[in-house]
Amino acid sequence: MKTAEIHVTVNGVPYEKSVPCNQTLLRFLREDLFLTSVKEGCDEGECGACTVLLDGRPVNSCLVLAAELDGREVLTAEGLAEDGRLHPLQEAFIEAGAVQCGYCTPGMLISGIALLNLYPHPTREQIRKEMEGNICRCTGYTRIADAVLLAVEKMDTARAEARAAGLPEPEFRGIDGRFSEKWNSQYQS
Amino acid sequence: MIKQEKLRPCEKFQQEGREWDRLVVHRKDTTGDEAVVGHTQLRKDAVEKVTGTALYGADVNFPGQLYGALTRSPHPHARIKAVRVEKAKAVPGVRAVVTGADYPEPYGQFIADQPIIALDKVRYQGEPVAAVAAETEEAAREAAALVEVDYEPLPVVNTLEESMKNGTLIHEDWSRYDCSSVCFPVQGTNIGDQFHLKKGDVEKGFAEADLVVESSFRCGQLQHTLIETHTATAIANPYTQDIQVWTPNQSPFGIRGLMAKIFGVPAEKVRLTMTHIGGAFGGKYEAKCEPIAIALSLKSGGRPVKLTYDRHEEFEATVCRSTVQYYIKTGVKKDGTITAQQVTGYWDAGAYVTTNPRVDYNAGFAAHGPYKIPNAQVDTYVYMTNRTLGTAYRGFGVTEAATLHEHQMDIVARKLGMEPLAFRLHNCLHDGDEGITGEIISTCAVEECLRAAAKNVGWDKLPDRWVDEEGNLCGKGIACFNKLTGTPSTTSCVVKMNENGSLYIWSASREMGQGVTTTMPQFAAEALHMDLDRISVAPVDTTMTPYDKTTTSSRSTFHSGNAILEACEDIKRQLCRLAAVKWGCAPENVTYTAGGIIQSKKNPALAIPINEVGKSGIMHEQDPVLAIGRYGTSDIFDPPPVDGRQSKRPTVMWMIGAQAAVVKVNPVTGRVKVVKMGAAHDIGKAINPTGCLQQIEGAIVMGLGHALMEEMIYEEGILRNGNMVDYKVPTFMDSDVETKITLVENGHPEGPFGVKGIGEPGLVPTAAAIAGAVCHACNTDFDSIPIKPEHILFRKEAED
Amino acid sequence: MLPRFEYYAPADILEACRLKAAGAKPVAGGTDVYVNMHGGKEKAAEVLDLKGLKELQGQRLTPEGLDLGALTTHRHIEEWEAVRGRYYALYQGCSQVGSVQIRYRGTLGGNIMNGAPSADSVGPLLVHGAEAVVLGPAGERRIPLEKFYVGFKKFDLLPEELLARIFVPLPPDNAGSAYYKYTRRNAMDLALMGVSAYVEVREGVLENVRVALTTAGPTPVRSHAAEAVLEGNPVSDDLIVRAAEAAAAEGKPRSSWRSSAEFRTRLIHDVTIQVLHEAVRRAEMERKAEAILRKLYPGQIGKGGGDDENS
Repeated sequence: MKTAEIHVTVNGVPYEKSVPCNQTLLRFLREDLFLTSVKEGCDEGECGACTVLLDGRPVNSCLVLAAELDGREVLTAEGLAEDGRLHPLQEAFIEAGAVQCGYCTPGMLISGIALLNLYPHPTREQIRKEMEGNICRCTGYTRIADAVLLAVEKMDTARAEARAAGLPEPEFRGIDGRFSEKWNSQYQS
Repeated sequence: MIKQEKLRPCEKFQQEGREWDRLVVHRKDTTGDEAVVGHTQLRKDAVEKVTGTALYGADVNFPGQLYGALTRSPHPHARIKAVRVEKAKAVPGVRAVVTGADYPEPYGQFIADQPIIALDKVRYQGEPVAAVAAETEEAAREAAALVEVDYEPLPVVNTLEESMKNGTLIHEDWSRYDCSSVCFPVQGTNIGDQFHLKKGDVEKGFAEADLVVESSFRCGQLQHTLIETHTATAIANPYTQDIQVWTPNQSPFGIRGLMAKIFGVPAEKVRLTMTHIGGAFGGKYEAKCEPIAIALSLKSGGRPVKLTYDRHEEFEATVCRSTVQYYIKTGVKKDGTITAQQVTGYWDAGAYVTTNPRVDYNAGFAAHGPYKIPNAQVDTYVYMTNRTLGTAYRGFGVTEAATLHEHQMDIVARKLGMEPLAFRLHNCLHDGDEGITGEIISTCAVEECLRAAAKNVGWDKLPDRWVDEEGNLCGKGIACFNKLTGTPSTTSCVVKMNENGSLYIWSASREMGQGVTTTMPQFAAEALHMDLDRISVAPVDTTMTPYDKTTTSSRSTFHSGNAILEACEDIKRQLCRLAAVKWGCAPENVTYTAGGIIQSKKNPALAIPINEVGKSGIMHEQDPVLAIGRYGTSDIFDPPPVDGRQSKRPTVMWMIGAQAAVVKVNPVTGRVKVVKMGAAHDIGKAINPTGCLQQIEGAIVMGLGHALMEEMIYEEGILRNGNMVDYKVPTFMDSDVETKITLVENGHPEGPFGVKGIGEPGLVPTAAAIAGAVCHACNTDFDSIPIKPEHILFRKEAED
Repeated sequence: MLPRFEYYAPADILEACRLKAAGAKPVAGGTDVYVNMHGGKEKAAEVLDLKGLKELQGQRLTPEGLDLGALTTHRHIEEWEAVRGRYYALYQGCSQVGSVQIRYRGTLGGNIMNGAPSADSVGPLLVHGAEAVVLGPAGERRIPLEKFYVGFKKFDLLPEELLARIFVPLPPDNAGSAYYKYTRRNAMDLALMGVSAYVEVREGVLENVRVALTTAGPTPVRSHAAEAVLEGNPVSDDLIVRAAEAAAAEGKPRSSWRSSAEFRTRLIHDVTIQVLHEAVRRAEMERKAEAILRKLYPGQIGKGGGDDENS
């Protein structure tokens, strides 16, 4: 076949699309859905600028076909903020000074979300390892690790405050299976 | 909707003393108690960048847009016998095909040696030979592959050494080209430019020396590896000749001038709208996609055309940092006093001259470092080869020069039996000393920087080399530098008050991650005592934004800051006049207080705080508040003559800094781990301290790559490692370096609040310090970077 | 961008075999095929996506060994605790492929079939005595992985056959393995040189030793010379050095712009020493730990891994 019909959920919004079979997820997101946070840096899986979450797992969207998306869920940096409020990880990137030219930032954020699902309280070594696939030329990376740790603090504080106030714990996009039931299930390639 | 809480800089990272500190040497126009300047401010562009809404070059799209693609030469050097485009034109969806014959006039900033599309000859692998615009990118690429070109391969000049034989000429006749007064090619050779500096008499100096030491050093060819590849989208009307381009370029007015020249239109016909830049570092200074996208748009009847390079094109056919081979000879007295130093250098500039004359020039003035050298000479030559084009790379040649002179300082110190830091301190420049051009040096804190950088790694407690408990060879290294900024250069800005009392700054200083869209408003906020939130930088568009030379050479904060301060003084005057109109008094009876209050002198109760000026009514249907600020350095510049380059003022400011490195080398694997970096940079005044730290931290990891990992490898003019796995920039996993930074504040008399520059300086001493530490650890004079494990395992240890 | 192609994602293995025989390019994770397509090196007109084939899916650890569907991702192996303990070399290899993003997509089957001399999972699979299980219209064939490779990017595989599974026998308690990937940077790099080793240690004597070299020839290869030095001999530093010398003499790295043959030969030597020490250490460590646990829980420990599906 030359085109595929897909039902895909991107940032919580369901789409029905017909896509050319040689279209990558990267191109689909940028050109069909206008989600331009997803950056093309190399088109070869070597820079991480196009990282998105696919069913909760970080992938290089340049190496995934849009035709594979049927029934699946995608999260991009555009989907992190909700109801007019930034995600704690986005806030942390700003407050820790982890943003410079900003081109790698959306991919870094997504790898950060994936990392926090795996290690809710990561060490710096775990941060480096889990974000190894995202190249940054500006920051030297340290402040990005700082930002991830700051986000952990922010989320912990928000949860503790909610508990103390007898409120339900806040949920954060992409974290704790907040986005989809499927996210904690085993990834099937 | 949940309300977004106000964000503030994370305090943990603001505390001085842990990972960074501040050393105030001299304050200029600052008490240190300013409200906005000198305190970390959140980047103004951060929210759009974390939400993914910031538009970069390739994110701009237009209805009816075509896509460009290029046919590129597989040959590094060949004569073009014929170009046939019929098959390409026949591909469905193709709307335009452009070849070299359409634009036969070459262009170039310093010498017009480069066609936008190759005409009679290709001079590097990947050089464009035809361009196609089509309705889809797929069709454009398909058509580009169908362009037929007959080549007659020519001998390939693969290396500097081959170029220096002048057997095969890349450019047969330099005299055919339009050449500026600052470029010096040599007819009948591959020399595209040269630089000569002469102070005193080096032969006399060597004769006076107790010891003369010679060495050489080579810096490998590097690629900027910007994560955003080059791109441009053009709409060019073939009937009116109006040209519009959306591009992530760091030199809007430079590109405007070049485009006007290439397309034979007046400059005002060229409108460049600047998008966000996904990394520049000098790599987005040249015109790359812009002229080709324009040509395709003209040829397709004015349709919008987007041209974006893929990663392979980016590596093979954009720009790079040239290889340089240096030779250095130093005469020194037994007590460590340098009597003379001579530097000879050869750049492998690639196929076209581009910005190399400026690289050669800047490196030439820095080739001896920040040292007292009574007799000095520099002779450097830009040689052409069949490689991709050399250009600016964060430091404009000075990084390479620093690596050279600091390597030599270590060798001379060892031969003298002096401690490397002590030898540097013995010779370094201080205020009142004579610099390399005969200039009397001022505002020079090199000693403070050296001492602070050393302290930041615990230098005094470490031997030159030792072996740790795991058997690693450990060593320390230190490096300092001085770098000029492009002089003369001018800038201007317009500061416009909106009806609600907020401010726009129009300045062509480009945000490329260095934070200028935050520092510029900081100046205005401080000058006017206005809330920083109410001040922003307008988008940059050459039809509206006032002139600025370029965003390079670490000049923006210094130059634009001065211009903004001037404009803000005018804003104050205008506001006082408007208040006087409202209050019915003479303008001289209204004052603008230091606290940002427009106040009647006679009746202090009549007062308008600046943050409330929009509500005050004084602007209602009055003359709009709009001020101009200008700053230029033509008046203070003493042009260095070509015969020797002696000058009382070759640059408006010297940037000074030092870094120290501690490394450990695994003797089995030959792999190097940079354990610790200590940096100290004289930034004059830290306007946004975290911004300064970001520059230095990022540069350290970038420089680590230059010292140990990165190089472009060519075989017979063919790039072998043009992808992001084989060309190795540091990853997150390579970034584990303990870093301590001292921001040295030695206020510059002409800098706004004393500021100097920090965009490039963070990188300049990094590779030098790391290379020095590796040399110490291995007791070997590695004479090139990157120092690879192979070099380490097969090293030859120094004997003396 | 990717070239135009027809895309097939069959759920039926015979349909997949037919498509492959007709020339379609099989793709699993796409982390090699699509990279090559983007770079213009691969121009298949038809792409055969294998991810829907149940015969290639799933993975379990049984008392016989590790039964891995060819679609098992590197990340799956990396996160599988039970595999890490028993197949340490495989864990090391898989956890160092590309980046996290690549490891979530890239598969063991793809790593083998891409045929790169630098494939990180292949050396460890070779030393663990893995078998390739191929499926075709004529049924199943089981081939020792070493024999499955017949040359540079060439396999003992008919056009209508697919690599379906990989079987790795369960190592005994006295076994240990290790893989050393030599790279220039710490992530997202290819092995400039890799050495894998598997040993069983009985009363201080090495048995069933297997050593494999990565990036030392057209395919990852066993170093039979090094194995011959080690087999049946008591462990000693001297023995390990002699094995390393044999491996270096047998390896045939080429000089290229990546590095000189001289450097690679030296690396084989030095890295083999490190890897053998690590494998022996792990063999002895595993044995000691097992012994303690066996004492603590008599009759419950030490009889293979049981059915662990890493769910």
